Amino acid sequence: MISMRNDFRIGDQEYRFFKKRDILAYLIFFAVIIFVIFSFFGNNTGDKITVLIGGKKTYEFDKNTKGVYALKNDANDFLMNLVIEENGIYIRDSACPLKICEKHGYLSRNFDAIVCVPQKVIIRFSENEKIVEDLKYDIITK
Amino acid sequence: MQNRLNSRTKSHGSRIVLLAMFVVMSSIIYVIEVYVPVPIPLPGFKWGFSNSIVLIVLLVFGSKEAFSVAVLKSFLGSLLAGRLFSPVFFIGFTGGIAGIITMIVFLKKFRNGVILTSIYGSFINNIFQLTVSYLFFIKSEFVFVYLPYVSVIGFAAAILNVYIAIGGIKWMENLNIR
Repeated sequence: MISMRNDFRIGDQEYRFFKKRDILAYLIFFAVIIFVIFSFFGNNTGDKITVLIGGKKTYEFDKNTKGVYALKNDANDFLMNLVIEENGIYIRDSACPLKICEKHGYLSRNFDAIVCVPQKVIIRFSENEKIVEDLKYDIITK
Repeated sequence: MQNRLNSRTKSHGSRIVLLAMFVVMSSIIYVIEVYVPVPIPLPGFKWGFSNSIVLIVLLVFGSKEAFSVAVLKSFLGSLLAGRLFSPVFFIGFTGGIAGIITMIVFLKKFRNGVILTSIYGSFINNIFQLTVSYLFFIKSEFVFVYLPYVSVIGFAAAILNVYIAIGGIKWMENLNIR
């Protein structure tokens, strides 16, 4: 008979919603999340906007360089337009059929990121790193 | 009384029929979830409420049956959603397999609580999905930036899944389902 008490039986098996021995596992769960948060966001000043395509840092923009930037891959295929505004960024005109990157909307916080799996693109705020050599700026409007 | 459900599902034929129903139910929820908005716009990310059906099967039937339903749900759900063998399918499929194995180990081997089992099923599912995205698609460790987001949402969904599953089992008992 099932009840909403902590313990219940199904057939010949007895189960509990919570057990004392679970506490360690709950602590590990929250520790992993906190570790990941500090790993990625701990020292991020968010001065730059970094674009990684296929795991390779392809573009880097200053947060203050307002404009619309066409992002292209190594084969020069158009992927999407990155719009940088005064207080944040967003994506428009994505070539991806799912257009999930456009659904991220307007991002402005240092820990925000745009991830597009089909086009292998990550756009994130980053700290002030040295500029990569092969930047491919393609400014449409400014 | 307490053995009512097991005695009713003893017959091999009725077990097959029930399991087939659970596969269909979980696949339908899977397909509906594809179109339900989620707070995180990440390909393949869903609430994961179809796992409540897998949890019902794990609690009522056992590990092998739950594993089978989880695998078939991924295939049938992806087929119905038009995503079979797409990158999103592989991300979700590996996550689903890792999630059900974790739930089986936590519930049947370690004898943990049902809520922790569901939470870790969701957590490992998310870790595997992000790992597959990292290894085969995105190739940047920054994809793990989503782990805290998906884990917190998965935490809430996993707790809800437990209560949905318990409600479903009570419903089966009340309806005298064989």
